[in-house]
Amino acid sequence: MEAAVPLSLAMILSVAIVVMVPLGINDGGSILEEVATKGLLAIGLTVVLVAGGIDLSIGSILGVTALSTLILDRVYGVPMLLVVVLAPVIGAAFGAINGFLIAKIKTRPFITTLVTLIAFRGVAKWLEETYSSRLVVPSTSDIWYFLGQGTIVGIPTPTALFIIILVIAHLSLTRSRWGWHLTSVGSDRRSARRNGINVERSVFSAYILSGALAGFAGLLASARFGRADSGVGLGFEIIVLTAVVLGGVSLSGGRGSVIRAAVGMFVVTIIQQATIVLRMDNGYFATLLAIVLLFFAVLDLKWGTYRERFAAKLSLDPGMTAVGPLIDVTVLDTLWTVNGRLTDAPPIGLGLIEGAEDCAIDDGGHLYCGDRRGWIWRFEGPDHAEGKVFARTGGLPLGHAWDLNGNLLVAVGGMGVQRILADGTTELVANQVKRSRFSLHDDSAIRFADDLDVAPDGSIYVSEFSSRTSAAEYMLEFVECRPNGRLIRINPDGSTEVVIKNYVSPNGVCTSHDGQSILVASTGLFRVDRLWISGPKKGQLEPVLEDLPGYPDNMNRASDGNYWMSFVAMRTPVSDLLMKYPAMRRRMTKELPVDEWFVPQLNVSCVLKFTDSGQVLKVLWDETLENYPMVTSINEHEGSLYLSGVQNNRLGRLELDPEDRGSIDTRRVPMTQQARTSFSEAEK
Amino acid sequence: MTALLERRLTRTTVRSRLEALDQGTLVIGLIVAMLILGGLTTQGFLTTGNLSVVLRFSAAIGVVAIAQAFVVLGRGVDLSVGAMALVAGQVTLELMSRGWSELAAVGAALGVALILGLVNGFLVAVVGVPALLATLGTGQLLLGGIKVGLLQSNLYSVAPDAFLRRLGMGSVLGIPTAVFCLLVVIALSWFCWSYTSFGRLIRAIGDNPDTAWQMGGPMRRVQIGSYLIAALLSAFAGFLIMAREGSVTTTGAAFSPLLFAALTAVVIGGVSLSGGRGSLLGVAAGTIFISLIVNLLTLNSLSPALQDLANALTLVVAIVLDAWLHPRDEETAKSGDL
Amino acid sequence: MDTVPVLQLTGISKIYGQDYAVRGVDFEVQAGEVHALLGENGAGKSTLAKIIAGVTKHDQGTLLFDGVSRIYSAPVEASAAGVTMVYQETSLVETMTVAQNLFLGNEKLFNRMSPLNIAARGLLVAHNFHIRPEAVVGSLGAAQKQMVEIARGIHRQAKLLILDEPTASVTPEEKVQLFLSMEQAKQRGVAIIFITHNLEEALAISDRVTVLRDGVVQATRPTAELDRESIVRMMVGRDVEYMRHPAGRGAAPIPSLEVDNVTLLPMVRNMSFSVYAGQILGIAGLVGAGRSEVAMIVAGISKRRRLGGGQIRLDGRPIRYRTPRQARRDGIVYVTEDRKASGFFSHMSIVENIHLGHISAQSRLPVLATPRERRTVGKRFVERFAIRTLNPAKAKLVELSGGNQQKVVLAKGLTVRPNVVIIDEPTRGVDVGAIAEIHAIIRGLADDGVAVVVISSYLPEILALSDRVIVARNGSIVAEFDANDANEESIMFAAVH
Repeated sequence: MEAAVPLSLAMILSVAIVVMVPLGINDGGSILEEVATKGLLAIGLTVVLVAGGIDLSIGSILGVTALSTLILDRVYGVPMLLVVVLAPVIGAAFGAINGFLIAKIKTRPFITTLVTLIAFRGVAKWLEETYSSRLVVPSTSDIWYFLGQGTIVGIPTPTALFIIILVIAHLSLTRSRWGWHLTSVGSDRRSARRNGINVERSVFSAYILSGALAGFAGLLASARFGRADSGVGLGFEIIVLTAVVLGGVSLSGGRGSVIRAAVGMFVVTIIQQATIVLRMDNGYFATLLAIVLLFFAVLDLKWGTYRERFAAKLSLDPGMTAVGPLIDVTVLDTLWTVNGRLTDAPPIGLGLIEGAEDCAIDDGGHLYCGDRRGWIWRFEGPDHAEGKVFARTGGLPLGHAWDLNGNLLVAVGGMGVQRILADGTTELVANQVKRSRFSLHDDSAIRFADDLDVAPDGSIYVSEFSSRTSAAEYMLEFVECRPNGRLIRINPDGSTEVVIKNYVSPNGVCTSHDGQSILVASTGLFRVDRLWISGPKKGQLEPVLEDLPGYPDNMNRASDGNYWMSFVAMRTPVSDLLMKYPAMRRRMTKELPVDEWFVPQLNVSCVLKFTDSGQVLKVLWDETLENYPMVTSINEHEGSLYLSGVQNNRLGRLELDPEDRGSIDTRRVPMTQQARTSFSEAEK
Repeated sequence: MTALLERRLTRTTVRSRLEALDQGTLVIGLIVAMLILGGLTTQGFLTTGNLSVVLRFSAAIGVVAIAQAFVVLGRGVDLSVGAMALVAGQVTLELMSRGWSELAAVGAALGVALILGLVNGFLVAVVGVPALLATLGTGQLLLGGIKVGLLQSNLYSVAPDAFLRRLGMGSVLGIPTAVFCLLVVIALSWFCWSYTSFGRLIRAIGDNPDTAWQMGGPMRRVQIGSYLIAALLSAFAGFLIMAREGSVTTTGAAFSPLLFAALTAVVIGGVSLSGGRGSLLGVAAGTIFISLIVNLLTLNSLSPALQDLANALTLVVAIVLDAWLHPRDEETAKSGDL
Repeated sequence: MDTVPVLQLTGISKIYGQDYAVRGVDFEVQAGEVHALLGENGAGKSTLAKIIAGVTKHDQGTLLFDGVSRIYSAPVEASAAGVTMVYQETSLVETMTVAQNLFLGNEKLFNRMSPLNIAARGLLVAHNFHIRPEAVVGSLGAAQKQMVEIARGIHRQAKLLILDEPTASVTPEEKVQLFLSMEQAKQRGVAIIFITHNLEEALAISDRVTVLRDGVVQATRPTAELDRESIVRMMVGRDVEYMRHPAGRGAAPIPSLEVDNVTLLPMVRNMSFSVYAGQILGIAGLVGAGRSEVAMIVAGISKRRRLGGGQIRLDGRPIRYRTPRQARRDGIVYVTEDRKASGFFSHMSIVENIHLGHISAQSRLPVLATPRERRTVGKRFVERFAIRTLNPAKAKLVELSGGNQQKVVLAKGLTVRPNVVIIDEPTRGVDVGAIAEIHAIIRGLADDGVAVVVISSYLPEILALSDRVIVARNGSIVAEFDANDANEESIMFAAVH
């Protein structure tokens, strides 16, 4: 991601060359061969650079091993299989000299490998002087042929081997312990040391690896040409260095990918082949190489400073939304008219709790609610006067529900779904789903579980407000208003499954009274949908409520067969207008501090009751906004309504109007015989 | 308790004594030792003729080493010096072969050096490209660019009557001209290092760039200036080489033997690659030291391969010594400090 | 306490240069104990912590961990033994992600990223730290890095956990979570060393307190026996109390330097203050409150590329420097708080250092800089600042005492005729004797009609020096006091709340 721009420029460059220069299919073969040999050097150099060093001696090591393998085979008649093993060993031995000097003696990598570049070349020349007369014997081994001209499943051997090594190197560098240690050493030696990493050993291993890869490349080179002299690999260091810089590997250590380095190598080889095809003087190649090297070095430097801002720009992409008609709640004497019905609800836990998004009441009448500090409070029934912290979930406890065994389920923002047992211990129910295929973004985590409810079969339906942002950044989701959310089902066996994808900020989840469907509220699109989970329409999604005047939050069943729902925010003409202008919203996030953003009016306390068919029956407000400035959830239990709000410092308990009282137990999962092991009993 | 402190303060180890010693003095000691050893073992080594050859040989290397030292002292490095020296000769001779006057051709070569120095300085001081990478690239670019854009022949010879030829042959006040030139360069550089603000500031930047920057030193100008001087001196060294050899080839690698010799002389002479430390005496002594080694190896008729090896081994010893005398602290070592 | 302590130090000494950083320290920590380590800046707290964590080697004394005598040569040995340290300056790897950093050091042989990210998120969120685990650490702010460092330290499940100023940059709410986590770790039997400058925190969470002063242990007592005053007495107890210098000729009527709503996120937000010639303005506040940052903006050291706005005026003229050189030409001098990193040239002599300050301050760089000139300039300032050393032309800066170093740094800055002098932590790491002298130099500057700004974390120093005190918090100036009305409590209150 971070090197996307330099790399794409490099690709454009190579495509341009391919188009402009008559490169034929034959050139493809030789380009691949070149890439296979030098690409191994590029992998080695990348590893060393990531470890915070540099290795200029790779070309010379290649030359030495190319000669050595031939000498071993032709002069001493060493079995070919042994030679194949020995080549990287010889290379590694030379690498060990570099490693020893740099890691143990702590000499400077650049000057050291510049010296060994000359020294190893000297060794190669000496080998040539001593043995050249005896190297003319033709090769007899099939393995030479296989390494040079053979194929593996249709791919030329060197290329196939290169790809295998590339994949292994990539995985090792990014995923393995060794790669991590190497990266940390390259990025910050002091931190690495303090984290208990053996700096010397890591640096040493990088040079060994670089040497071994150069040795193997030497074997491939001598197999390819069937001969070798001390000039093999001369000047490779600059070509490979250019390729690696072109691939976005940082010279200051800690950052780089072997795959990108290989792409860089590919581009450089194309340039080289182009100059060969055009029969240009090799001065042209050197010049082009230098220009490319300088250009990409500067680009890497400058791009580095803008990279983050660019990434930040990409991370937020507000969507355009068409909004329906807005109901004016200020018009007097309508169903929606603002009133003060909630204002005088007596408080619970005033001053103790901070931001209970939802609450739940057990059989004993004890009340449980989350707290944005990551705690679950318990207030003793029936008067809820005394409270204490009952459990600690960490994270941001949001929606609550009772499962079939009578344990408390909590959707915890940032942590997934947790189950709280009767003794106050917590256990994880689920925090991940299968990663969706072909998605660049890793969506395997349940990042922002918001509300949940239990279906008659015991499976848990969880809304994930956003699979991109975290619970602390909910404002971004308001601004972006894109289908980032999901509805996830956690099966009774613990497996998870996404049932609705690409849903705009799903929030409240509620199992319908008949147990046949799940109601889901979309905060961003101010609507409620119904997902059928059994019956003839199973799997279908249909609207229940649309164009609400506010942004819906949690939903719960009412005892008379209807549903309660709260609004977390109200629509205003300005917020509706903003929905149509994504660029304006993006600019707002750039130029204004978060508390000055135009967002839907968040301070609101409005709850409503609606029927299965989507008819709104009743709307309650706290028009003063003094006691309950925000109601995010409303729970009915035995004749009382409990008001919770994620920014309030209290809960509220409101006596239910007689007309609203029904006979249904709102706690119970519809159509089940839910276990009633009360929390309070188990605790005593 | 105080005894502990006393012990720490008066502690003398081999290392601390060597550290206190100017590395130039150390190398001069080594040179004397080598002269004695060489005189005992090698026929024809300790003769005036041979030693004057050694001095002549070291003139060009010395000038490039000083060029390099200007940059290294300010915590940089210039890998384009070798290329510059080669290109200076090429440009001059090519232009002369096109009928330019000798003076104009030399001027053009120096013009090329001026541009190279400015570009190097700009990339390093203003853009912030690591010095290694920037100068590697510009050196390569210069070699390739001049070859592609200007040169028409593969080998150039210096006309016997050219003034440049006299640089290599004649003598001033009884000293070979080339050596005389080296002495002049040393004198001027010494003046620059000790008596000018510029010289003080280069050393300051090498010692601690952050301090120099916060102090309000004209960092960019000074850094660009040091690369400029390096390029001009390298071009001058190119003329000296051309005069000595009498010809210039057009094949050259980025890591040329000249660059290598210059870096070696600088490191052996005690100019620390971490900047801020070093003396001209050291650089001069380092230059003579490596020239003597090459001379000894040649006199003992070692093959080029073994000469390379012996050369490299000497340098390994030098950098190991440098690392030992000026160790880097694990707690403060910066990564990516190549 | 009669059980065997987890950690026991006897007679530990450590020498840096010519000074003892810690001297003859006896110190022990029991399992399941929070042991607060208190002391001023430079008292040796961090050095002691680094010795315990194996970062530096002690020169003398014995270190028993788990009853075994140990001499660590690298932190890896200490962490293998069960010591984890949360570093003040953090020890995160900038190019790796938050999740990688959290598990670095005890990662698996092969790590898959998505489960790792999920686990990391849980770990962070458990402390209510809302940081994306996929984020590269280099892109985080200082406070967020501190959070990652804390989360990692606690996650490591060590026997001994050292927290070095963990609360310096976190919000009160996060602090509550941190203390809870410490409490839980304590119940598991983890021994915790808690290093802080905040006495209230130490009193609230610790079981025992050890006070260090000038590298020497003053006392180790159960927290219950102590109160704020007694700790302050042990911490400060200097031989020389700060002398309140009488104000000189008084301030000029119009400000020399005005900083008006300057913003450079994330450290400086709408910072505004003015400085008058002839007056010393003290800026108090916590580390990270934006004090040094705004000074560096004024002095042209911080690049103002991302400047969020605001204006700086010098004698009524708007200025905006791109390099420190421009600022110094206008007579604005900044004396750094980090002397070692950017205060002086360590391989050069006193005279050379001062002389370099002299030449680079000239608006036109002089071509020649003769040794003779060097000696004259050097001599003048060595005498004026009473720098005491045998041979100022030979003695290298690294070999000097902290006080003399600081005087050289001051002299180097004051080689120009200054208009505004900003001195960041003027007496950090300075020996007691030199403090009074340095204060006299600063007062002398103001008396000469220079506008002086003193930034200090040490309140008595602020109170002793300043004519006017302003307090920075979260990148803004939140309070202003006249020197006569200010006291430690009121300043601290403003700095924290």
